Amino acid sequence: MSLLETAGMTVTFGGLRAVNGVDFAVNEGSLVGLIGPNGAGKTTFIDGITGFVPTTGRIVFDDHDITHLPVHKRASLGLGRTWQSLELFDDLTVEENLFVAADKQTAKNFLLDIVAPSRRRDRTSVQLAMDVLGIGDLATKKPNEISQGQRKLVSAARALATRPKLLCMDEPAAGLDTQESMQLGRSLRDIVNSGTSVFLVDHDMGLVLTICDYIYVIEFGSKIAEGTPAEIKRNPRVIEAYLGQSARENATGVS
Amino acid sequence: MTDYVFYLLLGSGAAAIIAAFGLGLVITYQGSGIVNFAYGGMAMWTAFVYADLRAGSYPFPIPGLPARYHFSGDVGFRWGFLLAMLTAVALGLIVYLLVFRPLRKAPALARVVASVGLVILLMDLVRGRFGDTTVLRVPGILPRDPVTIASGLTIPRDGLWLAFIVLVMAAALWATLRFTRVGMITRAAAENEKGAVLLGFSPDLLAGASFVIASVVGGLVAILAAPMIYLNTTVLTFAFLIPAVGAALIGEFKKPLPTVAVGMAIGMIQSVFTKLQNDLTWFPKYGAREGLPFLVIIVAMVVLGERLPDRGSVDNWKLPEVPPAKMTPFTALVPAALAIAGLLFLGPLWRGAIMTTLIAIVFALSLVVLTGFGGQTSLAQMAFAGVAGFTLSKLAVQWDIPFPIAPLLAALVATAFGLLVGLPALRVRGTNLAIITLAGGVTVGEFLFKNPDFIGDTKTGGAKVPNPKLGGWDFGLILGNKSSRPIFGIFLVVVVLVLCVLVANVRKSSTGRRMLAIRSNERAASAIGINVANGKMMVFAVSSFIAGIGGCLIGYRFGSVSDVSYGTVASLAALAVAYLGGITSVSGAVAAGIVGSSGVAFYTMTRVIGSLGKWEFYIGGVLLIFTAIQNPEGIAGAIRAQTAEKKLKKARKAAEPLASTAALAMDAK
Repeated sequence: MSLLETAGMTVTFGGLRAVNGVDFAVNEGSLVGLIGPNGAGKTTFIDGITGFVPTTGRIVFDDHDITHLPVHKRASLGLGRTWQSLELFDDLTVEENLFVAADKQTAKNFLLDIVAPSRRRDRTSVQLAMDVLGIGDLATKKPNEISQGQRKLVSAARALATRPKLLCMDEPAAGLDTQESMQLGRSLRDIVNSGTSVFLVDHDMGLVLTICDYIYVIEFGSKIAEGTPAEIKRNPRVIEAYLGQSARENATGVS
Repeated sequence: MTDYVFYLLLGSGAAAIIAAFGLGLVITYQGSGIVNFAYGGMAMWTAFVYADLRAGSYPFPIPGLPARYHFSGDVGFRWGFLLAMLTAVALGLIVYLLVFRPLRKAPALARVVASVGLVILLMDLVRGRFGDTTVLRVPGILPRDPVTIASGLTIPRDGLWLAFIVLVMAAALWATLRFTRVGMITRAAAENEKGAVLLGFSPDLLAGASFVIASVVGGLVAILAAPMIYLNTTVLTFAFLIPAVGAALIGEFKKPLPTVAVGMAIGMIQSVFTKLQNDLTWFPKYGAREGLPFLVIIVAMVVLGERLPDRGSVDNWKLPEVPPAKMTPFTALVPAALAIAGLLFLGPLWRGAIMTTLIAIVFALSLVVLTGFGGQTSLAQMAFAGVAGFTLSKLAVQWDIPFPIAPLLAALVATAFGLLVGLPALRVRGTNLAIITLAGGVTVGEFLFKNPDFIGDTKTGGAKVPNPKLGGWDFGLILGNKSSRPIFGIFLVVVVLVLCVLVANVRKSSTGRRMLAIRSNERAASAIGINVANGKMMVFAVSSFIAGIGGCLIGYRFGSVSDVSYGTVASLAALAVAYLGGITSVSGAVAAGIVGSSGVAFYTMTRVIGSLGKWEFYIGGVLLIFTAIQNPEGIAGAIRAQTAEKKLKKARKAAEPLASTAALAMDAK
């Protein structure tokens, strides 16, 4: 059964169709990848799903039609995301970044908070997220005191601390070397095994082909292929899109 | 009909001042990217200098120096005008070099705070040099003989002249921006400062020049208009500045012609209000004049969106860091015990200073929640307090609602009001929000706090507030023949203690984390399921509730409430003092209360140095500017940084002997 499904999802900026009528699905318990060359509309696609840009078409998540829901309601339903630019809360420590994601907000909690704030702290999801990404030793640091690689892990952990059903990750491997990239791949698999489905957007073909169960390919906002990694590797349109790109790069002297 | 045209034209003088101030704001913003809230205050000083010159002396702006240089008599128009204009040039230059240049890379909040400091300083300077209530009369400059435009339509011509002069200046500015190289580069720098730097232009020179030109424009118009208006400390500082901000917003802080047109329109329509108040029974008698620019500002920002181009800078509104709350029984009870000891054993004047400090802490706490935790700005904090104060009076006097319930209800009314003011915050941020709240606060001050229907007749003592009583126990300040009972101070200590714990708890709680998350990054906050709109409203609700409690405390202290306690100047001072103390922590709020106006620190100072106490607002303004430049986390932040450094040194010293013994041991081997 599909956890997330889009039907004809379209995002337009002025006259430009950044995402053009994409049908797409993520099944529960799977790791789904989205690849495409730079400017293909990958980030816009995540923005559309999570509610940061208005879309047309239909988006269904966990049996709810979320097409017109605001961002925070989608997040409360269990749709988490990360950014390529990370977007951590710089004023909060790493631990607080995770806590703020794990807390549920209600009026009753607010009143309890003002009387006795430290009583009510649910550590389980925070601890779990820290363990999965191995950042326990950073708990009391502020985001500006740790390395870029560590910040990436924190941003993933923060999204996980909300206990999402589906985690959408925007280019988590950007800037990592091959070994770190493989490490990340294993963490992602752990996350899926712990019960959170993952939707991974990246342009690192190698990573996506190695770890994903199912892959979508987009170019100029339109879907050009979908299938298992093996099918994608053989798909002539994908080969053309990517080989064509590298052929052009060779011709202009860019390697 | 002729009547209305008459009032429209009669308003042309005031309209010209507004339009000119709008132009000045546009010039400043184009050249430097700064919205100078002190612009009206600067023009005011120039006008007072001119007036003083015509009375035969030149006032020096620094306390401690001789007050004036005395000429043999009136220096005459030519010399007076020349010296006053030179003063305007110097003022523009000094303000830029000493206040805004050091803040070029500073967060926008620091700039707002610095300009608030400058306003406070300039107002106190005029008060100190020209006396509190003096209304200066300046001999006419522009020809004033009446002109007949149509039959039955005769008006003095000086307003028309002033309008004409301002229109010429606007046209000149427009032509300069449009057709000259300097104008082109200024426009480019306003869009993207880095780009202009790459073209080889000094942004410093541009900004400095814009301050000087704007100061000259404002000063010139203020001098020419001085004979037509009542020169006092607030008329140029706020009454003409706020509509000018509205006009500049409509002109997007870059187009001179729309700015001048809207400024003129506001001034002339305001003038017609005088007529409407006579003709229409339903027309509001109070606050209509102030309400119009507020409406213009709301429309400009909420309907048309944020209007201040951001000069391509990455981070425009970063706030000082928020330390974790470290309140313990020790840190809470020791200051409380000291305060109580002071109340019991020191004289009535000390007691008064301690009470002032305690009440000031409450307002600083409300701003810690709003600005420190929530990242929102309010230049109308005392308006919330005033709503609660006047409501308390009504509840207690007219409806006999008893003590703990009446102030709590009053604070809840202030909360509702805070939520209303918070609405624009859902759309606008930073400097824009500062503008909205400033205009809103002024409107409320006029519309409610000066309105006899709401506050009662001032001749019979205004809005009275009965002593707080619980059971048969009265803990009011004045009872029978005792006029300064310490028990009231102890009541204040208890209230302040409860509020401090409450605010510290907010910081420690998930609610506080959510506020900080929203303050840090609204996008990311919504992506983890935080309702950003709710979060902002929560900030305004908590903050205005606390401010409302503070407003009630003022009422209890004085036994009555009046508009003086809750005015715009009080709001600006509250923000200033809170920032000075440290706007991100409870300890900062306590520090704010101590250094606040008429608080413990200033009382001590007047005891020690005597006469300087007269200048406390001036000194406060200087300190505020200094804090904005040097130390965004205020006094509390500076103390924290120092103790952290000491601890580090201690730790190093403790580590050193170990290291040296280790080294010795190595040598021995």
